Amino acid sequence: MLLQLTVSGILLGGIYALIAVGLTLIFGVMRIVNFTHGDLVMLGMYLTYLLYKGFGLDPYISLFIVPLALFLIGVLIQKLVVQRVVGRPHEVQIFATVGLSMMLSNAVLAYFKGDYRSVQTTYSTDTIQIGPVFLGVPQIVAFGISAVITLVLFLFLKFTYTGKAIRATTQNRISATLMGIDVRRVYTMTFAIGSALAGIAAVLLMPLYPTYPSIGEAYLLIAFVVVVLGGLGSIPGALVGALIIGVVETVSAYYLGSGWKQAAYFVIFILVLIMRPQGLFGQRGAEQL
Amino acid sequence: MALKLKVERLTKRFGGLTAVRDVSFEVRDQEILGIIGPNGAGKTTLFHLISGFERPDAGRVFLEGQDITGKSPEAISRLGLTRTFQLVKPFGKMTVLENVCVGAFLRRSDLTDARAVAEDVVELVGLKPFADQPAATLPIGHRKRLELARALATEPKILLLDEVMGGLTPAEIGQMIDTIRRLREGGLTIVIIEHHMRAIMSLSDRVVVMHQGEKIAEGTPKEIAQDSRVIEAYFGGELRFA
Amino acid sequence: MLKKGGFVLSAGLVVLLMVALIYQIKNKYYLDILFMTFFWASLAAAWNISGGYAGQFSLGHAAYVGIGAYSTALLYINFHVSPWIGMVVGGLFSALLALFIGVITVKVRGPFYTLITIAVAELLYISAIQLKELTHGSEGVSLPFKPGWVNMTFRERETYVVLALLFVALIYFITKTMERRRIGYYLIAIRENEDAARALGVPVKEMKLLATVLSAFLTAVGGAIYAMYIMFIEPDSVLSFAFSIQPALMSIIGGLGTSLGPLIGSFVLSPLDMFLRESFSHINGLNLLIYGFLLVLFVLFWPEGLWPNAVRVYRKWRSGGVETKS
Ligand SMILES: Nc1ncnc2c1ncn2[C@@H]1O[C@H](COP(=O)(O)OP(=O)(O)OP(=O)(O)O)[C@@H](O)[C@H]1O
Ligand SMILES: [Mg+2]
Repeated sequence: MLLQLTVSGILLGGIYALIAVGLTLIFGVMRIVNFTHGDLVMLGMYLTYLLYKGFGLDPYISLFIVPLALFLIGVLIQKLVVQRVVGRPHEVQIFATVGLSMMLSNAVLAYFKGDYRSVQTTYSTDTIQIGPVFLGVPQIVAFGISAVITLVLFLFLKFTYTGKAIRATTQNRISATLMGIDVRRVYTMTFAIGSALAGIAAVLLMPLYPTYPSIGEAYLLIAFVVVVLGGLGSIPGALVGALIIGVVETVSAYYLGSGWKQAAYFVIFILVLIMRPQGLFGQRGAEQL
Repeated sequence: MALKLKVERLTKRFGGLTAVRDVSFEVRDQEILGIIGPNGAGKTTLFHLISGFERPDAGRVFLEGQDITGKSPEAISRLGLTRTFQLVKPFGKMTVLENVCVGAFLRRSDLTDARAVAEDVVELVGLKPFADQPAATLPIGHRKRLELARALATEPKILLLDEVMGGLTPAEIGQMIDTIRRLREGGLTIVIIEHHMRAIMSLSDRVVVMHQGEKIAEGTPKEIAQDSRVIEAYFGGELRFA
Repeated sequence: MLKKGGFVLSAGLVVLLMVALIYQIKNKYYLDILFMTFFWASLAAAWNISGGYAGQFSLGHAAYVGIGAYSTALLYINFHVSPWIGMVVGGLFSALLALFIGVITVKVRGPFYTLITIAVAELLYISAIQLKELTHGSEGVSLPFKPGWVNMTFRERETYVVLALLFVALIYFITKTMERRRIGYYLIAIRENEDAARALGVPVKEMKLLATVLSAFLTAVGGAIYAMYIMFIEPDSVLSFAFSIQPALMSIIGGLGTSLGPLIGSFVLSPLDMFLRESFSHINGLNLLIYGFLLVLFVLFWPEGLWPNAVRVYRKWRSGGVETKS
């Protein structure tokens, strides 16, 4: 059983990684803790749902549309709100993004009501058996796509000009400016990419779980747990952290009941922040900004 | 008591960089000790170590014979050592007087008493006309004086001043020198970091010279001015005192 | 500025006047609005002690509301403990929790503090749902209607409104008193610049703890009063995120770290909230959508809030339209 749980946990962790990597990227570059990140996932899920309901689009086809839409939404949010709070006091950053998060989730609530919405595909419940372990097809697909996207992101950061600019800005904002990097553009790109990653995760989640307006809060907290566990601003940390949290979630859901599973990662979150605030891979002091 | 402050072989490393290396010196009662050195010499870091804002990798600090190494800044301030910041840190939304009251509250628990101390100090540093203005609205010269005023309001035995004259006009520097002299006459012991040569040379009883984290010389202003190592390392051979 | 005695006297007069007015209002709906306005004002003012003065941006105060409400209700129905005592017990539990959070977050600043408080509140919410033997889970707890002072249960709504008003007045008085004392100066200094405060001997950790513990205690008492007013509590009503976000929102809009700011925030937002719920009851979440919008708007463009800006405008007006130096 434990093996089964571990493998499903890792598959789930793959999706969490996409959400968390976006969050950590945004933090690394802009030093902003983005409280709207979960709502971006929520928006992505609703978009996927709309495309499915309205046009009968299979979620995996939406994979080509939703992330693009989220990218644009990310650009918009960055220009309208986030850009204005970079470098300002904590309370401004916290409450501007919290306020925005309230706007997004409640706009959706006002429009769609609070009902659960889900996408029922023919393959939603398909499973395959590998040795003693049963695995859901959508889970495997989701993990595969997450892995590919993560690899692409990694190559993008390593080899493209924009990617290098993003990494340089993460290292040191001031010297990046001195090197002639347009920091504002880097911010916009980073926020948009982070949003698009949330969009991809949303599409991958949709065949698996229903969505509702306040689901963003759950994903936000998961992403934070992951990021804090892995070390703020560290992408490898976010990957490892996501897999750990995925496993924690499946294992605790099985042994403690699904009502308590969230409690498990909140406890982990609090413990990590107390005992090793720099996370597994992060730099010391990042948590103090 | 003759010895106020004793710094023993202090060392502080930041990663590969040794910001302060093996620095020792002593400060006597009612003395003014000047600390000079080029940018990045480690002067401010030295103050951080003494005042408890950074923990030294090695060495000890004694205040009136008591070992204060590793104590928190607030505890050290309570014991009678207060420092100012080179990069001024006003409480922006509070008025000048309220800023100074925060310092005065260290030894006065009642607002009326604290205000009385604060008003005296504000007058002493020449900020009286601005007493009711929010600190955020002060120009830099006044902010430096505010740093000094707040520190004074804690009624310290020993005061560490980090470049309180930076950004001041020559007239203001003159006033500041007078103020510091008067403070010493009032019984204070003062350690002062300053780039302004004339000020430091006229104020200090003794001067410590730092360079690349190390103390390279110590002596009266006169001795320092003639020290070949100082001239070599610090002034690049082109020393001219006014 | 008024002398201290004058301040107490005038504040007392204002309260008396308001009490007299409350008994003139016969309309139940208006009384409800009034109760909620005072209730939110008290939560906001309590939040402001830690969030506004000490700069500890908690978004987990729902935990304290919940502890206050549950302690009072459970002690009352299970052991017939008077809500007046239950309220204090709840306050003490909350204070303990705040102390615990404060101690574990000593090294954590800014957004991480906020996140930990969110996580703790979520943990409590989950626990309240799961620990069914203790809390009756999501079924909730109904309080019996047995009017009487000992039971903090009243036939007339007016009495609840007066109770809430007196509670706001108490918190306001505490805040105002703090402002004139060392602790008030110290808290503001910490918020403005922690390092500078430490250099002046301000015991930062202790001050923050004190503010948070006080804030938690008062918030729990507010939660207890609320529980006695609605006579039914469930996790979604007393542990909801709204109890964490709205007090913060009201403080920010009214003026963070000012004694009147949170009250003004509530006087503006609570009636607006009730109006939106009433008029657009078919649109779920509209009130929170607007709240979110106001929050973004204020922190981006008017981070000082209404009260400090009003003061400035007033001073300008008094000095004959000329910008004064202060
Ligand atoms: N927190 C820190 N982390 C890393 N390096 C530091 C830190 N603080 C200081 N340094 C480095 O230590 C060295 C000494 O700095 P310090 O500020 O003490 O110099 P200083 O003598 O006060 O210079 P200045 O005259 O410009 O004020 C510098 O190279 C500085 O970059
Ligand atoms: Mg310096």
